[in-house]
Amino acid sequence: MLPNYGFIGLLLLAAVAFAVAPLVVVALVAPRKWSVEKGEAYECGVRTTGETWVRFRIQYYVYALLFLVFDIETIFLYPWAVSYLGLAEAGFGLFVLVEMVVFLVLLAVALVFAWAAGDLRWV
Amino acid sequence: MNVPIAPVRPELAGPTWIPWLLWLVVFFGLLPLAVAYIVLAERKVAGRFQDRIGPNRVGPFGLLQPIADLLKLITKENIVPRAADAVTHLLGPVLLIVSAFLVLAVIPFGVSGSRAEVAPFGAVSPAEGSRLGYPGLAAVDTASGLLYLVAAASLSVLGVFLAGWSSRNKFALLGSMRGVAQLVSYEIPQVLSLVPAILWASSLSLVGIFNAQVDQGWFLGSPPGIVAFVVLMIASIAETNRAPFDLPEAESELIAGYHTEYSGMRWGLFFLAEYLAIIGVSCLATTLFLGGGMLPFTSWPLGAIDSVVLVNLVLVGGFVAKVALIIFVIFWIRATLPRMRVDRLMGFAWKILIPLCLVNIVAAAVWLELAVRRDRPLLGWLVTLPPLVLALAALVRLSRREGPAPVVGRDRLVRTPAAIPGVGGRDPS
Repeated sequence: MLPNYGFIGLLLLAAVAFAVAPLVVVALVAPRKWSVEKGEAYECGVRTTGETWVRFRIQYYVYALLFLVFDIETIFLYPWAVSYLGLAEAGFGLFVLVEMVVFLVLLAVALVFAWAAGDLRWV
Repeated sequence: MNVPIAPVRPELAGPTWIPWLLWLVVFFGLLPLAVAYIVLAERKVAGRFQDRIGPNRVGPFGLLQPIADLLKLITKENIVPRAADAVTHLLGPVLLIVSAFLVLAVIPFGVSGSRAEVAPFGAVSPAEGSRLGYPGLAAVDTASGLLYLVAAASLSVLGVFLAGWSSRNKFALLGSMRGVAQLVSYEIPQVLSLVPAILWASSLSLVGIFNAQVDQGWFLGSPPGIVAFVVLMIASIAETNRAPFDLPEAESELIAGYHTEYSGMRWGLFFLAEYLAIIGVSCLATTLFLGGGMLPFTSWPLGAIDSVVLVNLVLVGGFVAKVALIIFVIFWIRATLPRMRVDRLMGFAWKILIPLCLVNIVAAAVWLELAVRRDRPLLGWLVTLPPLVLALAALVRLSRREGPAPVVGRDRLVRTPAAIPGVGGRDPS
């Protein structure tokens, strides 16, 4: 099965080439007339004021933390989903089901906590 | 349980570069062509929705419009803002394109053999206990196909963020920040809505999931399947930044959002990537829940016709028809729904979709036990449908209790630690 993964690498390189190739054509074909105004940031003709790369407070950092929790959860959910049928055939069906319900309830409790604490409000 | 070791597949024993070359032709020849005409189709469809005709000047019915557009894009000047970070400015659209193509690598468009064989990552058929399945017509079939797909798809947010940040434009930066917020929220329902399909197929390989549907029928045909499909579609539209989730490029607020500073062909790359991503999510939804190219309620021509070409004529035809239908629905949604407000966008994901997905996973397991393993689909419907409907209704009610939009300054004053008894509040500054 290893040759298969080789194709992903090939596709990656080909996709990069596919994206860059039209830009090469543009460099050959398109006109180039540079002016200072063209190089300005696009703000409808007004010169931009102040620095753009400043630090500013992002409003959703709590969401980002919750995202980490739930994203890692799926790492646990996928193997469970893959092996469930096999384990059920082997006679562990109810046990595996209850275990995952417990896991999901724990996550739901975390979500309910965040919701009740007001973390799911856009501030 | 014993998983039989896969025999070496004949086409892998031969030279691998021939199928690889063919796949490259499909990916870089057919797909961009498809994108060109999907764009035209969208303009036509949107025109009809708005009581217009749509493009009809270039060629018969406007069929040469995409070529005219391409020529225009190529002859436009390549402008990179003076203050921008040139390398990342280029990297943004390239990453988006790469992500869109990588997603499509694991999609099985049909079958590559007309006889069931021992499939390495195929479905466990409960009746037979062995892994038999049709080899899929996919560029890559790996045991962890879905995991790979999710990883490749989430690369796109990196492209959005790099594009917005590197432009050194305040509107672009805000747009890309919104893009990240949206991905952070909608990736969770997306990955959770894949769990039912994995559970029923007991495989992460998309070919395995297709084969499970050959056994069990479309995964859409059950309450948890319907919920998972709808959630997947909503989350996918959000991930591709399409209306009504197009806040990262909201033109009435942010000029053009994260691609404000892109023009000409560089902008064309964003356009291409967006439509490739739409094809990707439509293919994913088709493979997971609409049985790939299978006809409804039957696995005919599989096992009935011996010719791979004839079988694929039906399967690939069905696949393309379903993908086209889903893409049409995505156009329809764009023409119908107004853009969401940003706080509602986040609330919708966290307060409705994610809890619903958690309930849905349990319902999917119950459905597997009742309808698939014990073969009592009617009981399955009776047991899984009411909790899902109740959960949805309860979540909608709960999420509406929050009241009107928060007022920034006042809201912070109220949320002091004393205001939330029992829960330590955060620093209100």
